[in-house]
Amino acid sequence: MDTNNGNKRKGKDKPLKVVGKPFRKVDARSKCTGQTRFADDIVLPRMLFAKLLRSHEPHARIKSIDTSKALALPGVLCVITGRDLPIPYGILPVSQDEHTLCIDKVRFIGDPVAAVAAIDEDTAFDAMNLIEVEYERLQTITNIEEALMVEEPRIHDYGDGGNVHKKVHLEFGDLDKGFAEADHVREDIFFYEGNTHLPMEQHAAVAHFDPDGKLTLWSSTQTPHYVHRALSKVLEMPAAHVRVIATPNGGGFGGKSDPFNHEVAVCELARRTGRPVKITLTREEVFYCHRGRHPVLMRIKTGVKKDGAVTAMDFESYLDGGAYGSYGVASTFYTGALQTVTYEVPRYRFRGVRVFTNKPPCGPKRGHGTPQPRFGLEIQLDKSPQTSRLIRQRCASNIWSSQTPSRPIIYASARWVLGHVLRKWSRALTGKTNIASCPLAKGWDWRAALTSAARGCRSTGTTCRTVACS
Amino acid sequence: MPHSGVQLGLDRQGGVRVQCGSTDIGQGSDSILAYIVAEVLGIDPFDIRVLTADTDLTPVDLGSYSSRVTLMTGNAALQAAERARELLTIAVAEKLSVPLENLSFAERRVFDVENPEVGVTFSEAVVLAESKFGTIGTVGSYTPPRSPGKFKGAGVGPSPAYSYSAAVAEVDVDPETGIVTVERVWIGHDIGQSINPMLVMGQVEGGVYMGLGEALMEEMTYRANRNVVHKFPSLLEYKSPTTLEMCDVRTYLIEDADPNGPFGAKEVGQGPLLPVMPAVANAVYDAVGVRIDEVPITPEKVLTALRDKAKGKEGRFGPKSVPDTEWPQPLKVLTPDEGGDGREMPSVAVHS
Amino acid sequence: MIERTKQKTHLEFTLNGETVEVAFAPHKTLLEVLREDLSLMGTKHGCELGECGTCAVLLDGRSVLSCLVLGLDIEGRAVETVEGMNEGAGLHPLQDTFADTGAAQCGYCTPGFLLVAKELLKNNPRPTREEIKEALSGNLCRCTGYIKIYEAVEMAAARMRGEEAQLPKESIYGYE
Repeated sequence: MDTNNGNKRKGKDKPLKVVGKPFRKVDARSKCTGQTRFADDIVLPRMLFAKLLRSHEPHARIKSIDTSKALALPGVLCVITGRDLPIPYGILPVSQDEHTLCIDKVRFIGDPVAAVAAIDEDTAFDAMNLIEVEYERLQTITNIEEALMVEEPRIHDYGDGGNVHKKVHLEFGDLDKGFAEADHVREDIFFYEGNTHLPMEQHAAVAHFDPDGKLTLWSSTQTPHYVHRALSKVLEMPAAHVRVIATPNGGGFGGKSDPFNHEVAVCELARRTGRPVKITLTREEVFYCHRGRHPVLMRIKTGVKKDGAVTAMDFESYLDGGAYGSYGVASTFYTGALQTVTYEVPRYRFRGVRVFTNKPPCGPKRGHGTPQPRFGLEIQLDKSPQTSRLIRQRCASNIWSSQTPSRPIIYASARWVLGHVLRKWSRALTGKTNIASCPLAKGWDWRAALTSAARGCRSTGTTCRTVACS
Repeated sequence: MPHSGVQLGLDRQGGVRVQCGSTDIGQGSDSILAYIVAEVLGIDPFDIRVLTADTDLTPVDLGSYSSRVTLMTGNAALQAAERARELLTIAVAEKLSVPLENLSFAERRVFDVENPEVGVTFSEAVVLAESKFGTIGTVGSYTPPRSPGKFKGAGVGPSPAYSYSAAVAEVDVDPETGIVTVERVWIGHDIGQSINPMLVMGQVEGGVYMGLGEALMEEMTYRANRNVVHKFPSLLEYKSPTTLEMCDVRTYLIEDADPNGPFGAKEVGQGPLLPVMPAVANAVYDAVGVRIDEVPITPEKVLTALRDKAKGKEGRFGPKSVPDTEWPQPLKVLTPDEGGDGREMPSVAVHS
Repeated sequence: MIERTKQKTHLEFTLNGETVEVAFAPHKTLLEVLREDLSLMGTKHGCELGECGTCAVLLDGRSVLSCLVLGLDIEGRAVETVEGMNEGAGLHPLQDTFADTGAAQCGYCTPGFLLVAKELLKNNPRPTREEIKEALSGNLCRCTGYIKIYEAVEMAAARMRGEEAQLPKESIYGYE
């Protein structure tokens, strides 16, 4: 990389004037005066309002959809169903498993089956309720265990068999040898429940076709480029005639990173009616849109030596993916990817499986598959006196190593941060500076020292503290 | 193909236009572009018009996820700004008869570092450059280096720079109710170089907040019957911390410039979230001696574990087993210690 | 032809210090009237149930959730929205401090927080951190973790009392 290495100033060294300073953001005042235009704030002349009819069945075949009563309602201009947009899409090339509106079956409560455009939101809502859908129920799959056990019915026709979306098995080094070398082997099982992004801004989108037939979509998306690709694909339009504008975003955290059903639906409704169409999801719909943190069940087996050094780690993760692929394949790999970035693990096995269930689809949420394993690993280290010594020993110095470019620098950085926080905390707790210098010396049991120091400081209550390094 | 592109346009009256496909989701990525360009060109960030996230008007950026934006768009902006600066430097050096390396850009001026009165305004510099080169527009792009791993799945996880966070959680547990109150979180984050430390602090504090929510109260749960209806799809019942639940945060920003980041900067959007949940769980054990091996750590779980412990059982709440499943054949990769080069080992010998 | 039934009600009230007439469908909430009939988009909606605080406005000086107030109930009363917080061409001290401290990240919850904080400072010019937390506990924010928001309120309060106030160094750079 030529000029991408920017941390040394070119030419004469001069102090930084802007970088490193607490300047106000370029959009700060606009946000504090109510002038920022979020997607739902956009109003266009003769704009229509859309609503999506969503399935109330968790897993069912669609036998028929009757939109006639909805179309007959005064003020309704257009109703579309799955067959009007048959091309599938998805954020990952390997899981193009979503349709704008479900065609043959619904896979979770909240899966969209029809879309309505009307002169106002209330009319759209009433029209939505007039659409009649006949479902034929299928067995629901509600959790990881069931998904692994139930081969039929399959929620999707692709994947690694049955209701398994993806299975991964990676091995680095000879694990049997690694565990044989260990003085102590510990196995623990953890579960990390799913949660969602809960952005304050509900997803919203406005679509408009100009008289040249070129489409503009304003959307509260974090990934306009991916939405651009999906729209071009599903609407069968040249990408050069599609413009996606990501409006100022009222909170993403990963929840607005997929191309969404409502984004494509408003475009199609705008195309058919010749008028701009807006949709804003209700808060309940945002929960169904989800794409949040995967619930992950984990089994971690770690071999350690007496001095705390890890000899081998065997990590299994089971991800409850919900009804669609989303970023799930990446999420699966992520649950295995970063364990070796903070601790020296000379031999590592990762096995991960993501299953489909009849629940809102999971995707990326801040951390994306790494908070779950980090949770398990840090607790396991805390449980084992041998491994907690690892932290202490590895934090013995904060000197960069100038050797091979990757591992020593990574570990030095981790040690440095942890050491820094521990020193500051223990000094503040006790007011004593001598503790600040000794916590990370070899042979010292930091947990015991900090706990006894803390007891000295507080006389009542069950106060406690702990450390996690990540 | 670049993951991020930035186009810079310099107006002969001193304004600068920065176009980038990145999406500001509140973290301040639009501002980061302005700060970096302003630093290089020696102007005020408010002299810059930032145009982002419009597929017709801005070059592609892959999006705001994966903590990629500051590093990738920042590097692209740095490249574009330095290219613009080079053009201005050549034109001004020629005009003032000053060696190229003597010219400095600061306070909306371009001047001789050894004789600061000898210089031109930034707009005059643009005029000089435009007269010499034509309309001034530069481009910067960023493509991450190739991952050393070449096996299937190696593309997930590697980064040009890793940031680290560490946290200490001070927690109160009431053994009568099981209620866990986090008093304070001490958190250190290795930022490399803060482009704007106040915004970095905001991300750290926001990360701790979200970690608290995940650790103690947030859950997407569904009715346990066949219908799989979401139990509480509303903001009141899906619990997230209000001002009354949020703890104090004591933040330490550790700055050691990373050669791969713009001005040495690394991420902060996701890292500070991670240590909070396990720190809280470990703290609960430290307080009352029970292990909650799952999140969220609710009062019910703590009480159940305490009662079990009082009865002489294992004081733990968490899953007891994993399902039986068949795993596919492993993809084996030799480690660097074993002389591996990142490629997957063949599973079948070519020659018997 | 699309027929719409005549349904609008018509009333007068004080909006950001000015008398305003507005016609709207009588079932609408104040939030909908502000956004749809008066084109004031600063007041946001984050839920439909009065749970998040993004729709907060001041009604006769008291903070209310505009999504739970009927449009019909504002006749003759005074409503303040974020758009009216400006002091002439300048900003209200709260708007200044929220902008300068990074207390507005995505900015979606900001209008609600600003107005509730404005009410707090009117009634209590010297609030403690605990009082600030209590007053703002009805507003949710997912980005900031609230800390910069408290600091912005404290800074604005000090400035409104005529005192100099800046963010402490630790709030900007972290602790040493």
